Formats: sequence, structure tokens, C-alpha cells
Amino acid sequence: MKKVFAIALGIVTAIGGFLDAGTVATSGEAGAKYGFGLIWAVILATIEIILLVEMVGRFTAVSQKTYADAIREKFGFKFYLFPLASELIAESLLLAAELGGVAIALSLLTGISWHYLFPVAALLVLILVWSASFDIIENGPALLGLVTLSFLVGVILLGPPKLSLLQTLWKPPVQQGQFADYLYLVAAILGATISPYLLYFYSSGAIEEHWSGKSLLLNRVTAIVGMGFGSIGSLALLILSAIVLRPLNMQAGTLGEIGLAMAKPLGIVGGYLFAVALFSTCLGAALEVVLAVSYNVAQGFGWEWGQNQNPVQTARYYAFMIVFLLIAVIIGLLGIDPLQLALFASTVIALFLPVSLSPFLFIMNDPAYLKDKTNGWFDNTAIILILLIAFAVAVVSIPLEIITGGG
Amino acid sequence: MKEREQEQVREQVREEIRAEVPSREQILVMRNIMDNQLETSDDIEIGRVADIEAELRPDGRLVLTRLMTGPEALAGRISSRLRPIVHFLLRNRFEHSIPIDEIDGFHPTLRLRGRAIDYSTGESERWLANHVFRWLPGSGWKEWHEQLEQSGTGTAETEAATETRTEETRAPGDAARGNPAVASHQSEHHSH
Repeated sequence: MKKVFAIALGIVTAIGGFLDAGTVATSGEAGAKYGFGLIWAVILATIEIILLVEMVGRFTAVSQKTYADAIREKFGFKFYLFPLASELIAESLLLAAELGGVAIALSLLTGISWHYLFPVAALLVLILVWSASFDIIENGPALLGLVTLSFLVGVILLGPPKLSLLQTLWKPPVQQGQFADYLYLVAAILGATISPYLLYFYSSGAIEEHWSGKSLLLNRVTAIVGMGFGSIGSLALLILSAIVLRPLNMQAGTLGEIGLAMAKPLGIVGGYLFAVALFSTCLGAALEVVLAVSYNVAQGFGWEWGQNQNPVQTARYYAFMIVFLLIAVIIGLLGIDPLQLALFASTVIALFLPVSLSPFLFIMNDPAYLKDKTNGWFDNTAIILILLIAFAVAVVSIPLEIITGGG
Repeated sequence: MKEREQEQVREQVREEIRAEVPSREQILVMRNIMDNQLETSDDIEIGRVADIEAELRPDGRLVLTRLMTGPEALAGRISSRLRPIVHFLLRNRFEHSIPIDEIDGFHPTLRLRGRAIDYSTGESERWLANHVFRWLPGSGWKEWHEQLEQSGTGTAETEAATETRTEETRAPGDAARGNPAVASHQSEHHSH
């Protein structure tokens, strides 16, 4: 019974925790600009994150090592600096975007400018990481994030899409001069969904929750069912934006604009539901990003770490967490729109994916860690493919996007 | 009850890991020591092995003598030119070494014979706890401090560098200057 409950909770929190500022931004803009033309990217990214999450969970359950532990021990300190540096750069931008998402959600609910609410969002995250246990951090916002399933309700209420919109599924409406922007969004979708911070967080969480070789079923079900169903929120938001915003020529340039897509099927209630969904998903993601990077650093340098210990027992881990949060706040206070920041951060993440994930290829095939649970050819092929696709798309799209002034 | 169950699971995992311990002949420096986690007998993780000091004995044997931790040793792994710069900035304040015979077992994590308080590695953690976090609400400093007092390792001892099991690292080159036979293991000469 306990096992069933654990599996159910794992699935539910994976569903509720799938979306974040990055996926909301990319899904909303993708639907508004290209109709259903980027659904394939969301599905591809979802399949990849399912595989990656299952792999990292399997790795930690069997080896009792986290991903960061393995990078440092297997590849040495010099190599470890590369994924560490890429994570620090990319996730500081993403954390600023997530805090901005929380601030915008509060702004939608209160009417106060998000600029003033940004420090409030940061303070909320600080209080939670300082005082809450791992279970509360992992499950609380994610359970609240089940509100994202209201996006699916909105899609159902709007009824079937027009044929012209349906056709964009296999024929994306990319106009002349928009190809760079289209690729940029592909990279952003991949980066937003396949965020390496998820791997650091998930593998550390497996240790926090004392997973062992007996947890492989829980891991697999959480990854496949949880992440799979979690993408429903992302796809539903894309479809909503395509149906509501695209005909109005609204480009979904801000997170607030994306929320308008919920207003059509559900009225003012839809607007509030979007705000609550944005608040919970961005808060959950902000907590995960802060923890993931802190876990990475603490584990890489061999410090005591853990959300279930008092701050005084893991002082260096918490000290770093506070400094990292401060850096993200400074980035956020520059006033860059959180949606644009989320898109940019997601694309940077896609660019750095080979650095962040290439150790995975070797670690997951090392029987010294995984005994007889190493990767098969399918998993290895999947990792290589996604690294190549994400990197290629990002390296092409970012310069094009800058040159053409798109995004 | 939950904590007891969790402790049982942890102990079971440790037993499984211990079963994987390499025999004496199979211990490899890069695989089993370098960059590995250092864990004390009271289950505290105090850092990772940044470098290893070796000694060339008169009989020609190269013997590993001390585990090195700290930013200078790490800087040396990145570049030999970086180490003197870091030494100039930090003045050995965060460098520590642990005699290699303190290792209780060459598991995936290196278990040390002493408790965390017996090693100056990880002192920065205790400093942060006693000088910064003690003033922050919800840090758990009071309970932690009481626990240490009860186990006979109060604040006074936590603040003093405990030299019984570790000593401050000598400056780069001191070992060679002091004894031409002493060599420092430089991992940058290896595949890392």
C-alpha cells in the first residue's frame, strides 16, 4: 500500500511540476506564432526527458551516487568545472526567469507591478529553502501545480480546432524571415524541457528519499507516467495559444498575454487559474533550480548537503544557495521581461546540453556504478540524438536570432 | 520509527557497498582515491580528495603519504601557474592534509577513522555555523551546539584547528626544498 501511495504521489508531483516559466513561455509563444507547428518539438522533448529522468533515477538508486558525484569522481575536477560552469550560467538566468514568473503571477492576482513583487518572490523562495523539508519543497508546489490541468479543460471547452489550424501540425506556417525564429523556439522548447537541473535535482532527491535498488519500479513509473502526463499541460497551453492568440495576431510576448488564452474558454476564472498555475509551477521550478545547483556544487566539492538537515549542519551548502539566489535576484532586477529571459535561458541551456549531458553517456554505461542495469542501445542512441539535435539547433538559431533581431 | 527504518536502509546499502571493496592489490589512485568523497566515522562528509602527496623513500619506493584538500590543491589541478596565485590570495588558510593511514577503507566513499571534529578539513563549515548561521533564526544552531557539548566537542574545540589528525599544508615547493626525495603527486600529468 505504501509503495502504491509513493508511486501515485510521484506521478502526481511529476504532472504538477512539469511546467515552469520556460515551458509556459515556449509553449505559449509556439502556439501563438506557429499554431500546432511545434507540437513535434514538445513531444520530442518530453520523450527525451522521460528517458533522461528514468536513467538518472536508475543510476542513483543502484549506485547510491548522485549525478554530480559521478561526474567529479569519474572525470576528475578539471572536467567537472565544465558542466558546473554551464549550469551556473544557464541556471542563474533561468532562476531569475522563474522568480519573474512568480512575480508576474502575483501581479496578475494583486494588480501590483511585478517589478515590486520580484523581491517578494525571491524572499518566498529563500524562506522555503531555508525552512522546508525536501518533501514539502518537492510535493507542495507540484500538488498546487495540478491546476495546470485546467489548461486541458480550456482546450476541451473551446472545441475542435479549425482545419486551417490543424494543418499547421504538419505544415508549420513559417513565413519568409521567420526561419531563425522558428529554430530559436525549437531550441528553447528543447532547453526548457530537457533542463539539466532536473537531473541534478532528481538524482539528489533519490538520495534524500533513500531510494535503493528496490525503487526502480517507482522511478520508472514516475518518469514515464508522471512526465508523460505532465506534458499534457504544456501541450494544452500550446493548443490554447494557437486557438485563441494566433487568430488575434498576438505574439504572446509576455507571460500575462499567454494567460489571455485561458480567459476565452473560462472567463475571469480562467485568468485566475492561469495565475495560480503560473505561481505554483514557477515557484516549484525556482525551488528546484536553487536546490539543483546547490546540490551540484556541494556534491562536487564534497560538502555536507541535504534539505532534511538543519542549515547549521550543512552550512556551506546553504551559504552557496543564498549567494546563488542573490545572483539571480540581481539579474532579475535588471528589469528584463521574464518571458524573454526564460526563452533566452532555455536556448542557452540547449546550447550547453552537450556539456551538461555528455558525461551521462559514459556514466550510464559503467557497470562499476550500475552493475547489470547499464543502458541499452536504445537509451544510448536517444541521448546522442538529442544532444546533437539540441546543440545543432541552438548553435544555428542563436546567432540568426541576434542578427535578424527576432525572438 | 521512520528514522529507524531509514537508518536500516542506509546501513543495508553501506553493507552492499562494502562488499564491493577492492582488495589491497586492486587499489588504484585515480579510481579509488583521487576526487573521492571523504567521510568521517560519524558519517559527516568533509570534502573530496584534491590531490595526494607522495614520498620517495631511500629504498626507491614511492609511498603515498597524505591526502590534500583545499582550493590551492584544486587550482594546481587546473594549471600549475594558477596554484601560486591562489596561494598568494588565500595564504594556505584553507589547505589541509590528512595522513593516508587515516583511511579506514577504500570504498566508493573514503571512510576516515576519526570524527569530523578531529580534522581541520571542513573547518569552514564549522566557522560558518558558529559565526554566521548561529544568528539566523531557524538555522538549528542551538540544538546542534548542545549536541556537540554533550558529545564533548563544544564551541571552543570546534573553533580551534584540531591538529591531532591533520596539519596545514606546506607551501608549494617546501616539500621539495625540505627534502629532495619528497614528490608531490600532480594529477595534471595524468589523463585528467
